[in-house]
Amino acid sequence: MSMIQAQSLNLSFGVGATLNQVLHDVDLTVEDGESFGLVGESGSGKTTVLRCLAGQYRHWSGALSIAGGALQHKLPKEHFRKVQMVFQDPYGSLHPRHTIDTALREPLTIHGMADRDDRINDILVKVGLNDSFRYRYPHQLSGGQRQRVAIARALILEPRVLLLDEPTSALDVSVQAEILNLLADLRQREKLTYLMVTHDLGVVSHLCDKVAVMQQGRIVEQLDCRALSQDQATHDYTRMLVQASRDFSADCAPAMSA
Amino acid sequence: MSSLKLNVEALNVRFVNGKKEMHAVRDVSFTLGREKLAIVGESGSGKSTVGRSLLKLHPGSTQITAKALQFGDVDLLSASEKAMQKIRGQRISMIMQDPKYSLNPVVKVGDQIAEAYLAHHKASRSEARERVMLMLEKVHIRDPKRVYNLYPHEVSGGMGQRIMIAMMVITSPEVIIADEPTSALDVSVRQQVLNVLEELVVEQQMGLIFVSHDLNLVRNYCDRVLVMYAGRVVESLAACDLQYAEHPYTRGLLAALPSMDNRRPRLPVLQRDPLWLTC
Amino acid sequence: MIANMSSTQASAKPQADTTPASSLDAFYKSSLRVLRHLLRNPMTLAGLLVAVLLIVVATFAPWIATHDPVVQNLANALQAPGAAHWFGTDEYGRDIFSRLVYGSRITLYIITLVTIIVGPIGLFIGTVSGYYGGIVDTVFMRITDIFISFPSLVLALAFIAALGPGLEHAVVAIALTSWPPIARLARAETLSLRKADFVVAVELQGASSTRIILRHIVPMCLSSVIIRLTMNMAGIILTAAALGFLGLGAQAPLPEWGAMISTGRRYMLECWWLVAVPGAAIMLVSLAFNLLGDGLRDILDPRSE
Repeated sequence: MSMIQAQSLNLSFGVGATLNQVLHDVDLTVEDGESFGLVGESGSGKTTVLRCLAGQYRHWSGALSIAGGALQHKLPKEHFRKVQMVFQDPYGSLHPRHTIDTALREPLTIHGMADRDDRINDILVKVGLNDSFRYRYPHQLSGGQRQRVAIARALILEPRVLLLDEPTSALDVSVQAEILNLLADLRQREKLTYLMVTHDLGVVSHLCDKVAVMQQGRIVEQLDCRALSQDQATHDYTRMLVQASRDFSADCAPAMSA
Repeated sequence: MSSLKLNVEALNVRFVNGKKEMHAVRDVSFTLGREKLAIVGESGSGKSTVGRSLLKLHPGSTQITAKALQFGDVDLLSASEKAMQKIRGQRISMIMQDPKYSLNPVVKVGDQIAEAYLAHHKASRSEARERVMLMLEKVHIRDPKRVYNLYPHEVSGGMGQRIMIAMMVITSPEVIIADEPTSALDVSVRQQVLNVLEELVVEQQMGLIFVSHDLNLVRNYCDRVLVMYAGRVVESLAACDLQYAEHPYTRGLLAALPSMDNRRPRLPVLQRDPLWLTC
Repeated sequence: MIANMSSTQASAKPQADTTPASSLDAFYKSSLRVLRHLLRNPMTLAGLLVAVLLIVVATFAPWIATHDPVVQNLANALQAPGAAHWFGTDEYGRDIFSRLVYGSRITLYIITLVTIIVGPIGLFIGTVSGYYGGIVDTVFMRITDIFISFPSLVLALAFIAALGPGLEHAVVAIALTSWPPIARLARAETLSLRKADFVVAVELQGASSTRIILRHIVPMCLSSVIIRLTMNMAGIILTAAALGFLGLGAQAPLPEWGAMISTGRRYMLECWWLVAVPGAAIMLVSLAFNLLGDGLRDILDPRSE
């Protein structure tokens, strides 16, 4: 039983003259414990796929399932305990007027979970923070810390699947490394399944096992990340992305690594 | 005439807000000739501030001091606002990150480029229009007549950035400051824009200051690299020598980059040494 | 922000104050910060002081007033300001200073009541309109349009004509004309917030619309609504004074400032203090609330990131 499955996923926005089909027959399968990357440029529809799975867009057609349960267009609360999302912008994804404690307590209250203080403390430690952060406001935190809180908020509901929307593209390089390490650690420890959207092939190679390349609402190629770096991509668009990524990174001489 | 265009020595920039003072740029020194110089750093390193200080684009309360801030025959430090207006756009131009925000949304793009030209040259409207067409062709825009009449929201990111370049280069400046010009663009479009910029820089023998956070991008594109951290220049070296960087911050940054061809189980995390704040 | 610090360091940024220990503590500290900013601007400080003065005078009126505001003493009528009567007396011999002091209670009463009615109504209509959109939005906004299209004084007069004169009716009339701008403001904020990541995030946790509107959207609208309400207070005072002037608000012998001007009109040319004193009070309090609102806007708005 695969953890995430999309079959013939189609989605359009607008009506009549303004009709814009954003996803065309997207087929995707992610196994339990796998880390799957979705790459593409702007307008490729990669974030839209994520938002359909998360439950934000509900007017899709096709079949979606998470942890074996098919997604209906009307989602029960339990759905949100199976899958959670981490957003791109650490500055926008936390409510500016709520303390970290409030932000973390809210999902627990919505789902009627007990031992709230303990859970909050635990999750803060898990993401590399501590309880001195509990009563701070987001504007008192750095970008990396905010993203850790966003990850904590996503994980506090104990989901099986984590949807990551360019989680590090708004962060500095040094902070990005910390967050990527954290995500890799968490996936192992909490036995999570990741579906990550990014435009950065370096990031996807680091964190993901498999990758699907999207262009204008379609998946043009799916392959292993290892195959990606070994130039085994067959589709032109994928090869172009790989080449562009290489052009900007005449790679590190052995002197640099480790 | 010497090819040295810009000489900056011990530049210090302090932002003053009431009683609070922020020392954003500390003792930065560099020279610029007919070359592509990159200034790289993370957020808060002061890299954008350096660029903007050269054009004195900061509010009046900002304190800019330097031992030398020489642009050819002009001392930028003591230049009056009137003198600076003659320099901005004409002798030193600036290209910004996102054409969505740097182009006027209610004016046709062609008219904006023409305006940039007319601000510094006495010419008729039709003459300016001709020059704009030529410039649009130079930045590889295939249908200049049609694009002239478009509004900024009707052009894609890559085209918008090329229009911005056209606007800034039409006056044949001596120095261009590009502040993260490709950060908002897709990967496939990035190369196009960078090529256009390079062609112009080489053809008109301009100096280019390329401000960016992307080390990988600049190591292939630029000739020299200045690495900034907390307002200071921690390393200055040729772009091709970046792999032999000596400063631990530079080495740390390079190592922390995830790479497709060099997959590691854990990315080495940059350990910040407080000593770097004092060098 | 200078150099992002590694998150593994326990204390994030060098904070001037210690880490907040609880939700209440955090709220208290951020309120203090707002207050400190408020006090830095001299104009805002002046406005705040006058507003506080109004509250103090209204609260301690019986101790501050020198005479009874309603007892008549015809022998003393139309006395100029002097030692016995600081602001003189009116045509019935009543001490104007004392009437002014007791009148502050009425002014405060009107402002408070109108704000309490208008704030929640405006917020409710605005946020619900903005959040749900569609038919709900259309219906609410057309109702709002109807109210806005009348000049507020004219509408208030119409309501008073229907309800009859009196202080409470004046309050209701003013409230009914003051809520539309608040609703519009709240709706505009809600529309821009609806798409924000932090709202989507809580939607994706399974939160109900009520929870989202009450706990996420309303707090963000509060700053602009508070600013608007504060600046509205000046207008409310003036409208109440106008109604009082027309004899439609507070009825005699209540010492409402507008009514005082109205009755003092007759003797204005010889006895300037009958009109000038309540007029100055109205002007001072209106100005104060305007300045306060301005100062609040400077502080609260830039923080809304």
